Amino acid sequence: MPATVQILEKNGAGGTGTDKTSGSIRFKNADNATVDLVNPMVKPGAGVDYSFEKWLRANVSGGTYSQITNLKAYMDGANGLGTGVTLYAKAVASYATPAEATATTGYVDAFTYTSGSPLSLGAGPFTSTGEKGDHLVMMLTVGTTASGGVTPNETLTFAWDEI
Amino acid sequence: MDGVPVPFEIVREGHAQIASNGVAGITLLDGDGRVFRRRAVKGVGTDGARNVEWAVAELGGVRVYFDGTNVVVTRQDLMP
Repeated sequence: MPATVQILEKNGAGGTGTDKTSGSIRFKNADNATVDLVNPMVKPGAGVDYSFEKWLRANVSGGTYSQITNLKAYMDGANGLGTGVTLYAKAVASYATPAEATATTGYVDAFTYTSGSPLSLGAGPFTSTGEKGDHLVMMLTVGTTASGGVTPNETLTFAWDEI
Repeated sequence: MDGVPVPFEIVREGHAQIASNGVAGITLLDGDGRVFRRRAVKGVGTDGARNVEWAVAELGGVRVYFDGTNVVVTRQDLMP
């Protein structure tokens, strides 16, 4: 049986992981994995509102496999979050408590990472169970041209090779 | 999670490498090639997340991608 791979959202100083493989990830102005309307992003009068970072990482929770390599993350190439809303991403090896972003420095527009040009989260090889590869750190900005309300979902893909 | 395709199992028989999901399979006969799974979760962080399971046979720079139904032969590095 191949590896059982989850995608964890990590929060707090200890990096407590919540399985978000098929659960919503809500960008907000707080560091938690709760999907609610508390601490929402705010359409600013000027400039942009930065979200707290989302720290995501692949976690092998079970299964039998020899090795995982070529861990990647990417979007579908088209920002469907709406006008004035931008999603950013970067790869980071070591966990740090998620903080509210203050700039886009070090980040790249997440939608530039596509199946043809994905973000590498580590070549591996990775073995055994536990968290594998770099963290995918994402944050979202809301600008003055954004509309109100919850944005549509977007398609984030984690992919890897396995033997 | 919507749609859970069966992952491929990979076994060796002599020089041959065989990937099978129990219904369909792909066999690489030459020992200088390789067979591996290319797996993905699409739609992470949404209720519509789904698994993608491919078997890939690579020989001489040419890859055969197989999802259990469709076959693509190319030198390109395709991602799900």
